[in-house]
Amino acid sequence: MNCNDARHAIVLEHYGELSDDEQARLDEHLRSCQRCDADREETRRVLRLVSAQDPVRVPDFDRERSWRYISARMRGTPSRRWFPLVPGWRWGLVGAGLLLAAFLGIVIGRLGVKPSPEPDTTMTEAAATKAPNVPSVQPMLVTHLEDLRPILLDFANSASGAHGATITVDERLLRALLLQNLLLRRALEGKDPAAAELLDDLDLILKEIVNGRGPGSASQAQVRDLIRDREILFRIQILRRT
Amino acid sequence: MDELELIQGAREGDTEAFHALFDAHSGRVFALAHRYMRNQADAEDVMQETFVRAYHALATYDPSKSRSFATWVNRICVNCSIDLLRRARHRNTRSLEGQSMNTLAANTPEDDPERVARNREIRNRIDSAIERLSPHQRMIFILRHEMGHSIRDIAQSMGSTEGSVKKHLFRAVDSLKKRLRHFALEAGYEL
Repeated sequence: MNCNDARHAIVLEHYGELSDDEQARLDEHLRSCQRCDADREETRRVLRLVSAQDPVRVPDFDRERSWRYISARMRGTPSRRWFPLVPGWRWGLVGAGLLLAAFLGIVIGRLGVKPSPEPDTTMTEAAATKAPNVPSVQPMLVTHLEDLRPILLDFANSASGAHGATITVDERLLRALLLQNLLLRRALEGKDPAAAELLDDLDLILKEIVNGRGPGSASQAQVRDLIRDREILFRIQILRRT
Repeated sequence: MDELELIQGAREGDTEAFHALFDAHSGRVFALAHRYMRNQADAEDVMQETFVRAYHALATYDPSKSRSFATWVNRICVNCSIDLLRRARHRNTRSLEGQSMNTLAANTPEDDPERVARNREIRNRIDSAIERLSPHQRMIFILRHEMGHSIRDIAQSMGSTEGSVKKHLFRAVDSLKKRLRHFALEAGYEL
Protein backbone atom coordinates (compact mmCIF):
# COMPACT_ATOMS: atom_id res chain seq x y z
CA MET A 1 0.00 0.00 0.00
CA ASN A 2 1.38 3.41 -0.91
CA CYS A 3 0.74 6.68 0.94
CA ASN A 4 -2.07 7.77 -1.37
CA ASP A 5 -3.95 4.52 -0.88
CA ALA A 6 -3.31 4.78 2.82
CA ARG A 7 -4.86 8.25 3.03
CA HIS A 8 -8.02 6.94 1.37
CA ALA A 9 -8.04 3.88 3.61
CA ILE A 10 -7.71 6.03 6.74
CA VAL A 11 -11.05 7.70 6.02
CA LEU A 12 -12.73 4.37 5.35
CA GLU A 13 -11.15 2.93 8.49
CA HIS A 14 -12.76 5.68 10.56
CA TYR A 15 -16.17 4.62 9.28
CA GLY A 16 -15.49 0.89 9.65
CA GLU A 17 -15.62 0.34 5.91
CA LEU A 18 -12.34 -1.59 5.53
CA SER A 19 -12.18 -5.30 5.05
CA ASP A 20 -9.85 -7.29 7.32
CA ASP A 21 -7.34 -7.58 4.52
CA GLU A 22 -7.38 -3.83 3.81
CA GLN A 23 -7.08 -3.09 7.52
CA ALA A 24 -4.04 -5.34 7.81
CA ARG A 25 -2.36 -3.66 4.86
CA LEU A 26 -3.11 -0.21 6.28
CA ASP A 27 -1.71 -1.15 9.68
CA GLU A 28 1.41 -2.48 8.04
CA HIS A 29 1.88 0.76 6.10
CA LEU A 30 1.27 2.93 9.15
CA ARG A 31 3.92 1.08 11.15
CA SER A 32 6.53 2.21 8.66
CA CYS A 33 5.15 5.67 7.68
CA GLN A 34 5.05 8.40 10.31
CA ARG A 35 3.48 10.87 7.91
CA CYS A 36 0.45 8.68 7.25
CA ASP A 37 0.23 7.86 10.94
CA ALA A 38 0.05 11.61 11.66
CA ASP A 39 -2.56 11.95 8.93
CA ARG A 40 -4.69 9.29 10.61
CA GLU A 41 -4.47 11.16 13.87
CA GLU A 42 -5.51 14.40 12.22
CA THR A 43 -8.41 12.73 10.40
CA ARG A 44 -9.70 11.28 13.62
CA ARG A 45 -9.31 14.58 15.44
CA VAL A 46 -11.26 16.54 12.85
CA LEU A 47 -14.05 13.98 12.48
CA ARG A 48 -14.27 13.76 16.25
CA LEU A 49 -14.67 17.53 16.39
CA VAL A 50 -17.52 17.32 13.88
CA SER A 51 -19.18 14.51 15.83
CA ALA A 52 -18.75 16.14 19.22
CA GLN A 53 -21.24 18.91 18.61
CA ASP A 54 -24.69 19.02 20.08
CA PRO A 55 -27.06 16.97 17.99
CA VAL A 56 -29.07 18.93 15.51
CA ARG A 57 -32.76 18.79 16.22
CA VAL A 58 -34.88 18.29 13.15
CA PRO A 59 -37.83 20.68 13.43
CA ASP A 60 -41.43 19.69 12.91
CA PHE A 61 -43.12 20.44 9.65
CA ASP A 62 -46.74 21.00 8.78
CA ARG A 63 -47.81 17.65 7.37
CA GLU A 64 -51.27 18.78 6.38
CA ARG A 65 -50.03 21.80 4.47
CA SER A 66 -47.39 19.70 2.72
CA TRP A 67 -49.93 17.06 1.82
CA ARG A 68 -52.32 19.68 0.41
CA TYR A 69 -49.51 20.97 -1.80
CA ILE A 70 -48.48 17.47 -2.90
CA SER A 71 -52.04 16.32 -3.63
CA ALA A 72 -52.62 19.46 -5.72
CA ARG A 73 -49.47 18.72 -7.71
CA MET A 74 -50.47 15.06 -8.06
CA ARG A 75 -53.53 16.09 -10.00
CA GLY A 76 -51.49 18.12 -12.45
CA THR A 77 -49.20 16.84 -15.12
CA PRO A 78 -45.71 15.81 -14.09
CA SER A 79 -43.29 18.64 -14.45
CA ARG A 80 -39.55 18.46 -14.93
CA ARG A 81 -39.23 21.90 -13.42
CA TRP A 82 -39.69 22.81 -9.81
CA PHE A 83 -41.39 26.10 -10.42
CA PRO A 84 -42.52 25.89 -14.04
CA LEU A 85 -44.07 29.34 -14.02
CA VAL A 86 -40.94 31.21 -13.08
CA PRO A 87 -38.87 30.55 -16.21
CA GLY A 88 -42.02 30.98 -18.30
CA TRP A 89 -42.60 34.38 -16.81
CA ARG A 90 -39.02 35.37 -17.37
CA TRP A 91 -38.96 34.28 -20.96
CA GLY A 92 -42.35 35.83 -21.52
CA LEU A 93 -41.10 39.15 -20.20
CA VAL A 94 -37.95 38.98 -22.31
CA GLY A 95 -40.00 38.17 -25.42
CA ALA A 96 -42.50 40.93 -24.71
CA GLY A 97 -39.66 43.40 -24.13
CA LEU A 98 -38.00 42.51 -27.40
CA LEU A 99 -41.25 42.77 -29.31
CA LEU A 100 -42.01 46.13 -27.73
CA ALA A 101 -38.53 47.44 -28.53
CA ALA A 102 -38.81 46.27 -32.14
CA PHE A 103 -42.27 47.76 -32.48
CA LEU A 104 -41.20 51.11 -31.02
CA GLY A 105 -38.16 51.16 -33.27
CA ILE A 106 -40.29 50.67 -36.35
CA VAL A 107 -42.92 53.20 -35.26
CA ILE A 108 -40.34 55.85 -34.37
CA GLY A 109 -38.49 55.19 -37.59
CA ARG A 110 -41.55 55.51 -39.80
CA LEU A 111 -43.71 58.12 -38.07
CA GLY A 112 -41.88 61.36 -37.76
CA VAL A 113 -42.27 65.08 -38.04
CA LYS A 114 -40.68 67.21 -40.72
CA PRO A 115 -37.08 68.02 -40.00
CA SER A 116 -36.08 71.57 -39.13
CA PRO A 117 -34.13 73.45 -41.81
CA GLU A 118 -30.79 73.59 -40.09
CA PRO A 119 -29.65 70.97 -37.66
CA ASP A 120 -27.73 72.24 -34.68
CA THR A 121 -24.71 69.99 -34.80
CA THR A 122 -22.54 72.12 -32.53
CA MET A 123 -24.03 70.48 -29.50
CA THR A 124 -23.50 67.01 -30.88
CA GLU A 125 -19.93 67.80 -31.91
CA ALA A 126 -19.19 69.17 -28.44
CA ALA A 127 -20.67 66.13 -26.82
CA ALA A 128 -18.70 63.89 -29.11
CA THR A 129 -15.40 65.45 -28.05
CA LYS A 130 -16.20 64.42 -24.50
CA ALA A 131 -17.04 60.87 -25.48
CA PRO A 132 -15.41 58.38 -23.14
CA ASN A 133 -13.28 55.64 -24.50
CA VAL A 134 -15.75 52.78 -24.40
CA PRO A 135 -14.03 49.43 -23.84
CA SER A 136 -16.40 47.49 -26.01
CA VAL A 137 -18.68 49.35 -28.41
CA GLN A 138 -19.53 46.43 -30.61
CA PRO A 139 -22.98 45.76 -29.12
CA MET A 140 -23.75 49.49 -29.25
CA LEU A 141 -22.65 49.64 -32.86
CA VAL A 142 -24.95 46.77 -33.76
CA THR A 143 -27.87 48.46 -31.98
CA HIS A 144 -27.08 51.72 -33.75
CA LEU A 145 -27.05 50.02 -37.13
CA GLU A 146 -30.31 48.25 -36.29
CA ASP A 147 -31.87 51.63 -35.49
CA LEU A 148 -30.65 53.16 -38.73
CA ARG A 149 -31.52 50.29 -41.02
CA PRO A 150 -35.31 50.90 -41.45
CA ILE A 151 -34.71 54.58 -42.23
CA LEU A 152 -32.02 53.78 -44.77
CA LEU A 153 -34.21 51.11 -46.32
CA ASP A 154 -36.99 53.63 -46.82
CA PHE A 155 -34.62 55.98 -48.61
CA ALA A 156 -32.98 53.24 -50.64
CA ASN A 157 -36.36 52.07 -51.89
CA SER A 158 -37.79 55.52 -52.54
CA ALA A 159 -38.86 56.48 -56.10
CA SER A 160 -37.15 59.40 -57.78
CA GLY A 161 -38.70 62.61 -59.15
CA ALA A 162 -42.05 64.17 -58.37
CA HIS A 163 -43.77 60.77 -58.07
CA GLY A 164 -41.78 59.80 -55.04
CA ALA A 165 -43.42 60.10 -51.64
CA THR A 166 -41.70 62.21 -49.06
CA ILE A 167 -39.98 60.27 -46.35
CA THR A 168 -40.19 62.05 -43.05
CA VAL A 169 -38.20 61.07 -40.03
CA ASP A 170 -38.59 62.42 -36.54
CA GLU A 171 -36.09 65.19 -36.04
CA ARG A 172 -35.26 64.27 -32.47
CA LEU A 173 -34.61 60.73 -33.54
CA LEU A 174 -32.30 61.95 -36.29
CA ARG A 175 -30.38 64.15 -33.86
CA ALA A 176 -30.04 61.27 -31.45
CA LEU A 177 -28.80 59.01 -34.25
CA LEU A 178 -26.39 61.65 -35.42
CA LEU A 179 -24.97 62.07 -31.92
CA GLN A 180 -24.77 58.32 -31.46
CA ASN A 181 -23.02 58.04 -34.80
CA LEU A 182 -20.43 60.62 -33.80
CA LEU A 183 -19.76 59.01 -30.45
CA LEU A 184 -19.35 55.58 -32.00
CA ARG A 185 -17.14 57.02 -34.72
CA ARG A 186 -14.81 58.44 -32.08
CA ALA A 187 -14.82 55.29 -30.02
CA LEU A 188 -13.92 53.17 -33.03
CA GLU A 189 -11.28 55.48 -34.43
CA GLY A 190 -8.13 53.50 -35.06
CA LYS A 191 -9.69 50.31 -33.73
CA ASP A 192 -12.03 49.23 -36.49
CA PRO A 193 -11.34 51.00 -39.81
CA ALA A 194 -14.22 49.35 -41.67
CA ALA A 195 -16.75 50.38 -39.04
CA ALA A 196 -15.26 53.86 -38.79
CA GLU A 197 -15.50 54.31 -42.56
CA LEU A 198 -19.12 53.17 -42.55
CA LEU A 199 -19.92 55.56 -39.72
CA ASP A 200 -18.33 58.39 -41.72
CA ASP A 201 -20.63 57.61 -44.62
CA LEU A 202 -23.61 57.34 -42.29
CA ASP A 203 -22.73 60.70 -40.81
CA LEU A 204 -22.86 62.20 -44.27
CA ILE A 205 -26.17 60.52 -45.06
CA LEU A 206 -27.77 61.52 -41.77
CA LYS A 207 -26.78 65.12 -42.29
CA GLU A 208 -28.18 64.96 -45.79
CA ILE A 209 -31.48 63.59 -44.46
CA VAL A 210 -31.65 66.27 -41.79
CA ASN A 211 -31.08 69.00 -44.36
CA GLY A 212 -33.43 67.57 -47.02
CA ARG A 213 -36.95 68.91 -47.33
CA GLY A 214 -39.96 68.83 -49.69
CA PRO A 215 -41.61 65.96 -51.56
CA GLY A 216 -39.41 64.25 -54.11
CA SER A 217 -36.63 66.63 -53.20
CA ALA A 218 -33.23 66.39 -54.76
CA SER A 219 -31.85 65.67 -51.29
CA GLN A 220 -33.98 62.53 -50.92
CA ALA A 221 -32.67 61.25 -54.24
CA GLN A 222 -29.15 62.10 -53.19
CA VAL A 223 -29.56 60.17 -50.00
CA ARG A 224 -30.90 57.21 -51.96
CA ASP A 225 -27.97 57.37 -54.38
CA LEU A 226 -25.50 57.69 -51.58
CA ILE A 227 -26.93 54.60 -49.89
CA ARG A 228 -26.84 52.65 -53.14
CA ASP A 229 -23.47 53.85 -54.44
CA ARG A 230 -21.65 53.29 -51.21
CA GLU A 231 -23.38 49.96 -50.63
CA ILE A 232 -24.38 51.08 -47.17
CA LEU A 233 -27.01 48.41 -46.55
CA PHE A 234 -24.70 45.64 -47.65
CA ARG A 235 -21.89 46.94 -45.44
CA ILE A 236 -24.27 47.21 -42.50
CA GLN A 237 -25.29 43.63 -43.04
CA ILE A 238 -21.67 42.51 -43.10
CA LEU A 239 -20.82 44.44 -39.95
CA ARG A 240 -23.85 43.13 -38.10
CA ARG A 241 -22.82 39.60 -38.92
CA THR A 242 -19.23 40.03 -37.89
CA MET B 1 -52.91 -2.89 4.13
CA ASP B 2 -49.21 -3.54 3.63
CA GLU B 3 -46.85 -1.26 1.75
CA LEU B 4 -47.01 -3.12 -1.53
CA GLU B 5 -50.79 -2.90 -1.52
CA LEU B 6 -50.56 0.81 -0.82
CA ILE B 7 -48.12 1.24 -3.71
CA GLN B 8 -50.40 -0.71 -6.01
CA GLY B 9 -53.37 1.36 -4.90
CA ALA B 10 -51.47 4.61 -5.45
CA ARG B 11 -50.48 3.46 -8.91
CA GLU B 12 -54.14 2.96 -9.68
CA GLY B 13 -54.90 6.50 -8.60
CA ASP B 14 -55.90 5.89 -4.98
CA THR B 15 -54.94 9.18 -3.33
CA GLU B 16 -55.56 7.84 0.15
CA ALA B 17 -53.10 5.01 -0.45
CA PHE B 18 -50.44 7.50 -1.44
CA HIS B 19 -51.36 9.64 1.56
CA ALA B 20 -50.60 6.63 3.75
CA LEU B 21 -47.22 6.21 2.05
CA PHE B 22 -46.56 9.90 2.59
CA ASP B 23 -47.40 9.58 6.28
CA ALA B 24 -45.07 6.61 6.63
CA HIS B 25 -42.04 8.10 4.89
CA SER B 26 -42.28 11.89 5.00
CA GLY B 27 -40.63 12.24 8.41
CA ARG B 28 -37.52 10.38 7.30
CA VAL B 29 -37.39 12.19 3.99
CA PHE B 30 -37.76 15.53 5.72
CA ALA B 31 -34.99 14.68 8.19
CA LEU B 32 -32.57 13.88 5.37
CA ALA B 33 -33.58 16.99 3.44
CA HIS B 34 -33.16 19.14 6.52
CA ARG B 35 -29.72 17.81 7.31
CA TYR B 36 -28.69 18.46 3.75
CA MET B 37 -30.38 21.78 3.00
CA ARG B 38 -29.79 23.14 6.51
CA ASN B 39 -32.99 25.12 6.70
CA GLN B 40 -36.64 24.24 7.15
CA ALA B 41 -38.12 26.01 4.13
CA ASP B 42 -35.80 24.29 1.66
CA ALA B 43 -36.22 20.98 3.45
CA GLU B 44 -40.00 21.25 3.06
CA ASP B 45 -39.60 22.11 -0.62
CA VAL B 46 -37.39 19.07 -1.14
CA MET B 47 -39.72 16.78 0.79
CA GLN B 48 -42.77 17.94 -1.18
CA GLU B 49 -40.99 17.70 -4.51
CA THR B 50 -39.75 14.22 -3.58
CA PHE B 51 -43.29 12.94 -3.07
CA VAL B 52 -44.64 14.64 -6.18
CA ARG B 53 -41.87 13.05 -8.26
CA ALA B 54 -42.38 9.73 -6.51
CA TYR B 55 -46.10 9.78 -7.30
CA HIS B 56 -45.54 10.49 -10.98
CA ALA B 57 -42.79 7.86 -11.17
CA LEU B 58 -44.63 5.12 -9.28
CA ALA B 59 -45.03 3.12 -12.46
CA THR B 60 -41.25 2.76 -12.68
CA TYR B 61 -40.86 1.43 -9.14
CA ASP B 62 -40.15 -2.30 -9.22
CA PRO B 63 -40.21 -3.98 -5.80
CA SER B 64 -38.80 -7.18 -7.29
CA LYS B 65 -35.47 -5.43 -7.81
CA SER B 66 -34.81 -5.86 -4.08
CA ARG B 67 -35.02 -2.16 -3.45
CA SER B 68 -37.33 -1.11 -0.68
CA PHE B 69 -39.76 1.72 -1.21
CA ALA B 70 -37.88 3.68 1.46
CA THR B 71 -34.60 3.38 -0.48
CA TRP B 72 -36.35 4.32 -3.69
CA VAL B 73 -37.91 7.44 -2.14
CA ASN B 74 -34.58 8.20 -0.49
CA ARG B 75 -32.94 8.24 -3.88
CA ILE B 76 -35.50 10.69 -5.21
CA CYS B 77 -34.95 12.86 -2.14
CA VAL B 78 -31.16 12.79 -2.68
CA ASN B 79 -31.60 13.91 -6.29
CA CYS B 80 -34.09 16.63 -5.34
CA SER B 81 -31.79 17.92 -2.60
CA ILE B 82 -28.77 18.08 -4.90
CA ASP B 83 -30.88 19.75 -7.61
CA LEU B 84 -32.19 22.40 -5.27
CA LEU B 85 -28.78 23.09 -3.75
CA ARG B 86 -27.28 23.56 -7.20
CA ARG B 87 -30.09 25.89 -8.22
CA ALA B 88 -29.90 27.84 -5.00
CA ARG B 89 -26.13 28.21 -5.29
CA HIS B 90 -26.45 29.22 -8.90
CA ARG B 91 -29.24 31.70 -8.35
CA ASN B 92 -28.13 32.63 -4.86
CA THR B 93 -31.71 33.34 -3.97
CA ARG B 94 -32.31 31.62 -0.73
CA SER B 95 -29.66 31.95 1.88
CA LEU B 96 -28.44 28.43 2.31
CA GLU B 97 -25.11 29.53 3.63
CA GLY B 98 -26.47 32.09 6.03
CA GLN B 99 -28.68 29.99 8.20
CA SER B 100 -26.66 27.97 10.56
CA MET B 101 -27.97 24.85 12.12
CA ASN B 102 -26.68 26.05 15.46
CA THR B 103 -29.97 27.84 15.90
CA LEU B 104 -31.50 24.42 16.24
CA ALA B 105 -28.88 22.97 18.50
CA ALA B 106 -30.35 21.49 21.61
CA ASN B 107 -29.23 23.96 24.24
CA THR B 108 -31.02 24.04 27.55
CA PRO B 109 -31.43 27.07 29.80
CA GLU B 110 -29.17 25.59 32.45
CA ASP B 111 -26.27 25.28 29.99
CA ASP B 112 -23.19 27.30 30.77
CA PRO B 113 -23.41 30.45 28.56
CA GLU B 114 -19.73 30.17 27.71
CA ARG B 115 -20.16 26.61 26.66
CA VAL B 116 -23.19 27.53 24.56
CA ALA B 117 -21.25 30.31 22.85
CA ARG B 118 -18.28 28.02 22.29
CA ASN B 119 -20.52 25.31 20.84
CA ARG B 120 -22.14 27.84 18.57
CA GLU B 121 -18.80 29.01 17.29
CA ILE B 122 -17.62 25.47 16.65
CA ARG B 123 -20.88 24.62 14.95
CA ASN B 124 -20.60 27.69 12.74
CA ARG B 125 -17.14 26.67 11.64
CA ILE B 126 -18.23 23.13 10.92
CA ASP B 127 -21.32 24.29 9.05
CA SER B 128 -19.25 26.66 7.01
CA ALA B 129 -16.80 23.88 6.12
CA ILE B 130 -19.63 21.51 5.15
CA GLU B 131 -21.34 24.19 3.07
CA ARG B 132 -18.21 24.52 0.99
CA LEU B 133 -18.31 20.89 -0.09
CA SER B 134 -19.67 20.09 -3.54
CA PRO B 135 -23.34 18.99 -3.57
CA HIS B 136 -22.32 15.35 -4.01
CA GLN B 137 -19.59 15.39 -1.38
CA ARG B 138 -21.96 17.11 1.02
CA MET B 139 -24.67 14.52 0.50
CA ILE B 140 -22.29 11.61 0.91
CA PHE B 141 -20.69 13.06 4.02
CA ILE B 142 -24.07 13.72 5.64
CA LEU B 143 -25.39 10.28 4.80
CA ARG B 144 -22.25 8.57 6.08
CA HIS B 145 -21.11 10.74 8.96
CA GLU B 146 -24.31 12.24 10.29
CA MET B 147 -26.85 9.59 9.40
CA GLY B 148 -24.65 6.51 9.61
CA HIS B 149 -25.60 4.98 6.25
CA SER B 150 -23.17 2.41 4.87
CA ILE B 151 -21.18 3.10 1.71
CA ARG B 152 -23.24 0.44 0.01
CA ASP B 153 -26.55 2.04 0.99
CA ILE B 154 -25.30 5.44 -0.08
CA ALA B 155 -24.26 4.07 -3.46
CA GLN B 156 -27.74 2.63 -3.83
CA SER B 157 -29.43 5.86 -2.73
CA MET B 158 -27.39 7.91 -5.13
CA GLY B 159 -27.44 5.51 -8.04
CA SER B 160 -23.67 5.41 -7.94
CA THR B 161 -20.90 2.90 -7.41
CA GLU B 162 -19.27 2.17 -4.08
CA GLY B 163 -15.91 3.24 -5.52
CA SER B 164 -17.29 6.62 -6.50
CA VAL B 165 -18.89 7.10 -3.09
CA LYS B 166 -15.59 6.26 -1.36
CA LYS B 167 -13.76 8.76 -3.55
CA HIS B 168 -16.25 11.52 -2.78
CA LEU B 169 -16.20 10.68 0.91
CA PHE B 170 -12.42 10.91 0.95
CA ARG B 171 -12.48 14.27 -0.81
CA ALA B 172 -15.14 15.56 1.57
CA VAL B 173 -13.13 14.54 4.64
CA ASP B 174 -9.94 15.89 3.09
CA SER B 175 -11.64 19.22 2.49
CA LEU B 176 -12.97 19.34 6.06
CA LYS B 177 -9.52 18.52 7.41
CA LYS B 178 -8.01 21.43 5.52
CA ARG B 179 -10.59 23.83 6.92
CA LEU B 180 -10.87 22.51 10.44
CA ARG B 181 -7.47 21.04 11.32
CA HIS B 182 -6.15 24.12 13.12
CA PHE B 183 -9.42 24.64 14.88
CA ALA B 184 -9.52 21.00 15.99
CA LEU B 185 -6.08 21.45 17.54
CA GLU B 186 -7.03 24.71 19.25
CA ALA B 187 -10.23 23.20 20.55
CA GLY B 188 -8.19 20.41 22.07
CA TYR B 189 -9.94 17.49 20.49
CA GLU B 190 -7.22 15.09 21.40
CA LEU B 191 -7.70 11.41 20.90
